[in-house]
Amino acid sequence: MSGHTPPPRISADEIRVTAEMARLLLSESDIPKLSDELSAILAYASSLAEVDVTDVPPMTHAVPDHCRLRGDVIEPHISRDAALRNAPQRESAYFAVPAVFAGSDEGFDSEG
Amino acid sequence: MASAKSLVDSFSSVAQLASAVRSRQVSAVEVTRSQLDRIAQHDATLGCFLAVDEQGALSAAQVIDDQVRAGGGDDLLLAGVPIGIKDMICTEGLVTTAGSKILSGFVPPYDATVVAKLRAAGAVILGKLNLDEFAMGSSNENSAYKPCKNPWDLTRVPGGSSGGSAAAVAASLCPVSLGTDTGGSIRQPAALCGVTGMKPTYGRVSRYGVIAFASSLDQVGPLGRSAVDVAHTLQVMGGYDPRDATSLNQPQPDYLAATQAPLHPPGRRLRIGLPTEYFAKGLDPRVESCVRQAIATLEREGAELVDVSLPLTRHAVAIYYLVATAEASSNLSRYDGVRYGQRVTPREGELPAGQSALVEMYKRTRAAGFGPEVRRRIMLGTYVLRSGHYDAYYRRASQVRTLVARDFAQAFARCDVLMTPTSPVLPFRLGERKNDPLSMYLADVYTIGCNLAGLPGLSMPCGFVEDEGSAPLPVGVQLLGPTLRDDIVLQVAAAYQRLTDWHTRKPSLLAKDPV
Repeated sequence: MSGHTPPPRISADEIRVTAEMARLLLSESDIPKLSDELSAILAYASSLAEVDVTDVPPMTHAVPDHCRLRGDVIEPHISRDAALRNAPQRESAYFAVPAVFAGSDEGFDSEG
Repeated sequence: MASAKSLVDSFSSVAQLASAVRSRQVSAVEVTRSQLDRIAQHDATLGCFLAVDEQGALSAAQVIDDQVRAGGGDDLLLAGVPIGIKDMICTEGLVTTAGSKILSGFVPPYDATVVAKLRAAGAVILGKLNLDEFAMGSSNENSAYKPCKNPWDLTRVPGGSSGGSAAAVAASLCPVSLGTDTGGSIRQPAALCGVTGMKPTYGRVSRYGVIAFASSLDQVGPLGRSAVDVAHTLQVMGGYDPRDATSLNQPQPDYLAATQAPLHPPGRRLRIGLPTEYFAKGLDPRVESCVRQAIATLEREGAELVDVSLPLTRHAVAIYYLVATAEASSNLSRYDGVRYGQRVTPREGELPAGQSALVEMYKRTRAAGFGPEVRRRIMLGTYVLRSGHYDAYYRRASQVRTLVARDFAQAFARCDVLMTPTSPVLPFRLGERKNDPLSMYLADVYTIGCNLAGLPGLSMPCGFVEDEGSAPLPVGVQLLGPTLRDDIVLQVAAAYQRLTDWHTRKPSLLAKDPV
């Protein structure tokens, strides 16, 4: 099989939607650059359309091993305090985060 | 300061060094001090280390010496052997950043299994080695902290992503180091720095505590001065780990015995496969000439050469950049400023109408914490996994991956190992390729197939060439073996190194050590 058509260029809107999904804040000037770069890489990758993959199973892992389950037993583990030690912000035994819901007044960096 | 000449270089192998420490011919503290002096002397120029743990190293060495003096330590395979760890691998109490700003200041509460095993065998951890951010890159230029230089020519890259791991061994800052290899990140820098580096069969070495980039491809491995040193280190760090669900529950081969075995398998001649597609357009003729000479060396010893074909090689890079970025976009979603690492909180008035402060915090944290290459790969991975794109990109790439693995299996039906160039090009200049991601990606064409199929692969030096009046630059030859035949890869590499001395050469820039 040959003669595949390269994928259409990724639009600025597509970049914005993807960035939202990836939770990345982009500046307006990043958008055309990413659009160019991703479009070029996907155009290159479109050569995969030439390969006949009829009835070929996907290989999602290098080892054809099935998922192993472990016993439901307590093993040596780090303490809660150690687990919280790297947290940017904590409150007693919890990770603390800014307000989850839009419209709440809490969660701004009041020191700014 | 005393002479910064590496004491370690007076021992021909890490086994010999460990034995000298166990028999008190030399103390672990002396060895460690000598390495720390050498790092102090050279690393400001080279940029191999992101963190040097002077106190931790000296106190670990003291513990080994005390143990030996008390009559113990006989079973310490790496007694007093100084090791550098790629900063992609967690070390308890020692800052681990993956070369990224987003993890600056992160201090892991536990050791990766490989690190715990090395410590238990008496190894002394010197510090954390420079890399491309989250192991994404082939030149070490994507480190968020500093570039690393090639010890053979300071204007050139050491390769990547384990650039610090390869350069540190080449410059005798440590005799062995750990790297990680997702698409060639151990083998390519080993080639560019003139050292031996190995990616074991997927699952041979635990990934527990190793920062995940692309989980179906990532594997940890050793870099060292010789196949013997690499085998010795792999013996200690490898093996089944119940904490890694993809770790292989299989007995480890005796890697050291493999390095002492003859070149040929019992009762017949070794068959070396030469994949046509790996000697094609784009390969620097000077690299090809060195690799062909290495092949001829083994042919003179009686190895049989077999032409094989891996027709899907031309698709390997495309598969890799779809699969690896898809997996990375998922793995890197954990860096959200909640549990560890840096956080950027929006100030009052900066929050767009209707936006949650939490989501805005995620977006600002990730935008500030990730460098351009990591952002580009997260974007690509997120895009190809989106509904409507998944079948055309990720699923199709995974199907072609199956065919790549079948190609290798067919080739290995006709030969014992494959012998190829590691990198199609010589070490390039810093900055030369930085602005062209696709050309940088294409330089990984010979190393990626091994990861896609989960095979063992090794790179070792096979010659040196000058480039436009440069100092001699190392060239690497790659050996690939069938799944689980890490032993035969090491066997052939060690046999080659008994016949040649390329692996014993040291960069002249550092040969003139001040006294």
